Amino acid sequence: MPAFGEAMDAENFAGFSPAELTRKSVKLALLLAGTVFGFLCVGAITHAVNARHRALAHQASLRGASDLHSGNYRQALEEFDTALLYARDSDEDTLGLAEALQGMGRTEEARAYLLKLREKQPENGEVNLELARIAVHQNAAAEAERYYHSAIYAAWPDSLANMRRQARLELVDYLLRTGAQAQAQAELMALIANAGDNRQIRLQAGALFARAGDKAHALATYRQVLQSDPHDAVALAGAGAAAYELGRYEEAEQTLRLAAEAAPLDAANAERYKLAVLIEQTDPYRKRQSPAERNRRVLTAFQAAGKRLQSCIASERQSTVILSELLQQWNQLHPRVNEQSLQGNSDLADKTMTTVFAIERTVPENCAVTDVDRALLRLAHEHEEN
Amino acid sequence: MKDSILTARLKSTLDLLYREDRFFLVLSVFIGLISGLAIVCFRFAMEMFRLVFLGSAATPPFWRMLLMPAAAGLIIAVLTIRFFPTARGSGVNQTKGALYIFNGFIPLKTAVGKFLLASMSIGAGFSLGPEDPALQIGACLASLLGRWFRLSRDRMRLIAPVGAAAGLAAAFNAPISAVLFVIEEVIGRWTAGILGSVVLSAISSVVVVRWFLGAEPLFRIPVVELQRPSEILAYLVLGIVGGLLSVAFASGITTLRPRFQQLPRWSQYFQPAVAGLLIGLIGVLGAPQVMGAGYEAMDTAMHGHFIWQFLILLAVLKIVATLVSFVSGTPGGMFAPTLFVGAMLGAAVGGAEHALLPHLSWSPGTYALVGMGVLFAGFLRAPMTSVFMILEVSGNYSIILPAIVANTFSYLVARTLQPVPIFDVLTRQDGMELPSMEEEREINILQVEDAMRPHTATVFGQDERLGDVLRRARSEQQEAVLVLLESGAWDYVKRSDIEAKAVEGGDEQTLVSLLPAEPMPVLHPDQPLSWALRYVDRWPLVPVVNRANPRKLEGVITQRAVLDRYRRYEE
Repeated sequence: MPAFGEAMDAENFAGFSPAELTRKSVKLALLLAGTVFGFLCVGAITHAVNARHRALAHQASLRGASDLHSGNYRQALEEFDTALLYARDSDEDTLGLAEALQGMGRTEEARAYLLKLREKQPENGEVNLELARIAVHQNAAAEAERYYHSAIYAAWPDSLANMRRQARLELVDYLLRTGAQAQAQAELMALIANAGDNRQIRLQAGALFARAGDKAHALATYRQVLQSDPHDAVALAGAGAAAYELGRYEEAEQTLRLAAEAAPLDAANAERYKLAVLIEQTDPYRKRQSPAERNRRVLTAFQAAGKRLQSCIASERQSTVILSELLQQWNQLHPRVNEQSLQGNSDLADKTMTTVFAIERTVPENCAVTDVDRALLRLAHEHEEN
Repeated sequence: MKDSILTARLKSTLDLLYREDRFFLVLSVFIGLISGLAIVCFRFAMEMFRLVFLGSAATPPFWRMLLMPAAAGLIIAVLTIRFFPTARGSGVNQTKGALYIFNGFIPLKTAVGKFLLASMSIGAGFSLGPEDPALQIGACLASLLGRWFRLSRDRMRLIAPVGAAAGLAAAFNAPISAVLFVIEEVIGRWTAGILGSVVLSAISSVVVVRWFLGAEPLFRIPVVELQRPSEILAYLVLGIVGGLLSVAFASGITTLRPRFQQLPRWSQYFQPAVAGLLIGLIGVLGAPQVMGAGYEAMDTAMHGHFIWQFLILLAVLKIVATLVSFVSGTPGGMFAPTLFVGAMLGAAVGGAEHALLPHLSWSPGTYALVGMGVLFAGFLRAPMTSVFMILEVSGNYSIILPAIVANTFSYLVARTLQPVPIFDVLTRQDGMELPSMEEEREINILQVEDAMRPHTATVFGQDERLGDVLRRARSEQQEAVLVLLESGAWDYVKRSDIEAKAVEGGDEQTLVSLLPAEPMPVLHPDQPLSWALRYVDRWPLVPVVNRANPRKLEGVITQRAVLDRYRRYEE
C-alpha cells in the first residue's frame, strides 16, 4: 500500500503557474544570496573574534611567564588559566599552568596536566623533567628515574640545551640521596663525557663524585678544570680535598696551599691543609725518608699517643678497661722505645706504631686531642684500610 | 519550437523541484545552514557578554563575580518583561507548542529575544545552557522561512522541529543526538518523511559550525574504557544515584517555579537580579565553576583534576544555581546544567567508589561521561538520546554497556518517583496542553487483529449457483455473503440482491452476475486499526486476510467492532 498522501500528490499535482514559479525562484535565489552573505559576515566576525582570542591568550601567557619567573605562582596560575581559556590547545600555557600548580604544591593536579602533555609529546624534555621532579617529591624512585632519563634523552630546543645536563645533575643528586651510589657514578661518567669545556658542570660533577665516594674521579675532574685555570679556587679546594681523602698528602698539601692562598677565608681548606702538612711531617711510613727520620717520627708519635692516653685516663670521664690495657701496653713499650733501640729494628717500629694507632683509634675523639693526634688518627685509619 | 521545448523542460524541472515534498528537503538544507550561522553568532554573543560583564580573566575578579550577574539580571528582566515576554523559558516546550498548537508559527521577535537575552544571561554567569535557546532559534528561523515560502499547513507544522534539530545540533556539535532528541522529545514519532529533513538540517548546521569554530568538541573526552565486567555494578549504583538526584532536581524546579510566578508582578523585575546575586555569591565563595554553561569545568572533571568531595559539592551547587536561574524566569536552557551535574556526579561517584573499593579501576572520564547520560535520562527523560549522545561524543563503543545500564536505572528510578516528566510539568504550568512524548512512546498502537472477529459463516466461490447460495445464506442467517473470486480478491453480495436476482433470472445463475466491477478492499491483521476506518463505513464488513495467502480469511472487521475496540482502549 503506498504511503498515505503520496499517491494523491502524484495524482493531483498539475504544476505551478509561471508567475508562481518565478516568485519561488526569486525567493530561492534571494535565500541563496542571503546565505552566502551570511557566510561572509560570519566569516569576518569569526576572524575578528579569533584575533582577539589570540591577543588575549598571548597577553595572559606573557604575564603568566613573568609571574612564574618571579615566583608568584598563584597569579601565574590565574594567568595561564586565562590563556588556556582563549587558546585551549596551547602546550606552552599548559606547561606553565603545571609549573604554577607545582609551585603552589598542588603536585597531583600538575601531574595530571603534565601527563596529558606527555601523551601528546612524549619526547618533550621540559615535560619529562617536570614529571621527574614531581616523582622525586612523591618519592616514586622508578618513575623519577624513568622521567629523568626521558628528559635527558629528549628533544630540547637549542636555547635550552643545557637543561639536558641539568636533568642529569638532578638525577645524580637524587640517586645519591637515595643511596644509589653506583648508578650515580655511572650518570656522572656520562655527564663528564659530554661536559666539554664547561667549567661549572665539571665543578658540579667533581663535587658529586666526591659525594658518591669516588674520590679518584673527583680528583681527575678537578684536575681537568685546573688545566684550564690553575688558580681556580673551587677546583683547587676540591682537588685538595679529594687528594687528602685519597691519602695523597703531598699533592693535597700543595694543592690546598694554593687553595688557601686563593681563598684565605675558607676555614675547611685551612684545616685540611694544616692536617695535610702535619701528616706529611708525622707519617713514619712516608716514602723517601731516612731511617733516622722515620725513627724520630715513630718516637714522636709514641710520645704524643701516650700523652693523650694518660691525659684521658687522668680525666674523670675516661677510665675504661680498654684504655687501661692500652696504657699498660704503652708502659711496657715505653722503656724500649728510643732512638737507639729503633735503629735497625723495624719490628719494634711497627709494633710501636701499631700501639700508637690503637691508642688513637680507641681514645674518644674529643678527649685531649691535638692536631698531631688528628694526623695520627688519619694515618691509623689508612693503615687499617690497607 | 526549440524555445518552447526548452521552456517546457525548464518548467517541468522547476515543477519537480518546487513540489512541496521535495522542496521541503531543499529548504531543510538552507534551514541548517542559516541556523548554523545563527548559532555561531550566538556563541560569539555569549563570549562578548562574558567579556563585558565578567572580564577576560578565567576567574573573574571578586566584584565582577558578585555584582555583574545581578546587574545583568536587572537588564534581562526589563527586556524580557517589556519587549520579549515569549523569550522566557528554555525553548523546548515553546517549540512543541508551535508544532501542536500554532501550526508551526514562531514569531521572529521570539528568536531575537532569545538570542539576545539567553546570550546575555549565560555570558553574565547565569547557570543556564545555550542548547535549548539554540533549538528555539533554529525553530524560529525555520518557521520564518516556511512562512516566506508559503508552505502548506502540514509542512509548516513539521518545519519547526526541522529548525529545532538544526539549532540543537549546531549548539551541541552533535548531529545524531540532536536528531534523536527532537524526534524523541519534540515530534514524538518516527516517519520517513520528517526524518530525512531533520537529518539534513542537523548535518548542514553542524558543517557550518565546524567550518567556523573548528571540530573541537565543547569538552574533550579522555580515553574512556571499561576494564572489567564487574565495573558494571559501579555504574548501576551511579544510575540509581543519578535517578534520585534527577528527581530532586526536577522537583525543585516544578515546586519553586509556580511560587515565583505567583509573586507580585513588580518582583519579577528583581527575581533574575536576586538569582544573579546568589550565583555570584556561590562563585566568590569558591565555586566559580557553576557559573555559565560550565563546559570548562566538565572538561576539568573528566580529566580527574578535582577530588570527589569537591565534585559532589559542585553538583549540588550547580543544581541550586540552575534552580534559581530558571525559576526566576531568566531565558536559558537546561541541557548544559544537566550535563554538568551529571558529569560531576559521575566523577564523584566513581571517585568515592574507588576510595571505598580501590580494586575497582577508576577512569574519571568514563564515569563523568556516563554520569552525563544518567542525568539526561533521569532528568530530561530522553533515554535513547542519552545513550547515543554518549556514543557520539566519546566515539567509543566500549562504553555502551555501562551507559545503557546506568541510564536505564536512572530512567526507571526517576520515572517511578516522578511519573510526569519535567517538560510536561512545565507545559501544564504554562497553561498549555501538549502531548506527552513519554506517554506517546508507550501508546500501544491498536491493530486490525485487535478488533477483528472470526468469520464462521460460509465463504462462497464466484461460480456458485444463486439457489445454493440463497439456501445456505438463509440457514446461516447471513444478510450479506462473502465471495472469494478466482483472482484471489474478495467481494460481498447482499442476500436481498441474490433473492431479487434469483426471482428475476432463476436459481441457476451464479454469483458472478451480481459482483460489482471492483473487488472490495481487504485488510491484514497487523495493520493499524485506524486503517480500517477508511473502509468500514462503506462496507458492512471487511475481510482480514493472511499476507502470505490472500485467499485465507483470518477474520472480518466491522465498524461497530472498531468503535467498540477504541472505546475499550480508552477505558
